[in-house]
Amino acid sequence: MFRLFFLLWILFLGLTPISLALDSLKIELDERVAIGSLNDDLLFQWAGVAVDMDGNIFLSDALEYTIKKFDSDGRFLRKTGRKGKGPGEFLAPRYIDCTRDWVYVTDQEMWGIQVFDKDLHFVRHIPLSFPISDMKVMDDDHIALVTVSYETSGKIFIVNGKGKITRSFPYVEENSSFMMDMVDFVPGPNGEFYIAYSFQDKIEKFDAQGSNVWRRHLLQMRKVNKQKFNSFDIPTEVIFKDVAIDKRGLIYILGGHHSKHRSRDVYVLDGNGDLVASFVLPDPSHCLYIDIHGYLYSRANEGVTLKKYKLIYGDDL
Amino acid sequence: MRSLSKCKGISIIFIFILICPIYGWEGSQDRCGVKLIFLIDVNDLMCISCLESLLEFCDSLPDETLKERSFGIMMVGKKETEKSFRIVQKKLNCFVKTNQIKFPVHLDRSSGNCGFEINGSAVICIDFKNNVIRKFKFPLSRFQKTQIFSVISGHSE
Repeated sequence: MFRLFFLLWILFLGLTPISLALDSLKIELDERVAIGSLNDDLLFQWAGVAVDMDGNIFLSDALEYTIKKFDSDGRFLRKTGRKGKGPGEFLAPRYIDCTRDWVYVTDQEMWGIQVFDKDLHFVRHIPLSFPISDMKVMDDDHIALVTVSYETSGKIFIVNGKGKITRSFPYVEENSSFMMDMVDFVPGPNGEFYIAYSFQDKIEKFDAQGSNVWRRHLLQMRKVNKQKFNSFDIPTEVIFKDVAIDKRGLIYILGGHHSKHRSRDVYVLDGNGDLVASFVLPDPSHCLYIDIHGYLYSRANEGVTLKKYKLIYGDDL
Repeated sequence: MRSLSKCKGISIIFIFILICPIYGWEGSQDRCGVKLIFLIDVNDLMCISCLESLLEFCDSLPDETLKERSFGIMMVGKKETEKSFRIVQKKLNCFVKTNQIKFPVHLDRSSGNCGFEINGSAVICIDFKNNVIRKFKFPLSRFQKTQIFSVISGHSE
């Protein structure tokens, strides 16, 4: 009887690792800035966010076909773009990232990357031969990308400023079924990559050489629901929505439909993949972004508002 | 399931009848023109590329059809809070403005009350008696577009 009880207890522990994990670090959010509201015309459906070294905030607005610049206090500075396929135009602006001088923007409907200066003047187009499903600009000559294209999925590509692939490494060992290898990723300070799978309960770390360092399953999920669409089985539930890294090297993973607080739970892992904290965003978000100054950015009001929070760590509380 | 579809159909026609007088369609003597009702799923509005097929189709229609014989209904579903409606209204205003939509689009606050599940954007062809002739879901195939054009032209002759 005792043995049975013990086994059930172990099983219970195994099935609920998040809720029972002992958070060794406490992290709190302190809201500092909110950009966009129901009563203004600042944001309609923001998709991507990036912050430069001065704290300026760059956003892509998918519904307005624009990119926008705000200062660190959330004051609107300028915007550019309209619907179209020409230079400086968009059909569905998505990922955005910046370096000291340039702003890089992808489009869900058009291949390649558009580059703008910090005043949002179009500068040039980086051609690519595949669609992009996530982008992180490490510097102007090292742009990390993943793709949804069937032939090129399952790999991280590094392209230079001209769009030439200079390096790639696979993060999946074998061909997985359609869309199951879709990921969000973030590069670490030493060239490593942290990967969160969109439709699998899987977080992975790869070193700078592309070797797998660790793999974690945070939710102990086996499968996601799928729906038949033509001849494809399309997953209909997102497990992890985004991944970000802070200046301490902590990895933040935004949970999706299967988290206790849908699209609000954030799991924090250390560099070894151990869960050290978790917290809940005030509003559901599709993405997480953490800047070099220790601020976290996420969505509110279904994309009409961007919230900027100061990350406050337990040892600072 | 069938009663839900019926409920949806009744709901759409009901909204259409309510809106008709606003746009001068009430008691129309125009007995030869097919009208188009664009049902826009609010979920598609959150993913702008999901509405590309609808926008492309609108671009292919004559201005006269869009301005005088077309009408849009944004299906909001079960989002019941005032805040949700205001968010959708703001997004809808932006969608209409940036895509230069030439027909009025009404936000349907009642579509969630029937209990049916909104399942993608669609276009409905109705005759001068407000009878539904055909319904097509987006994205449209080339054949479906041809069918719609034939319905439009067939009833215009």
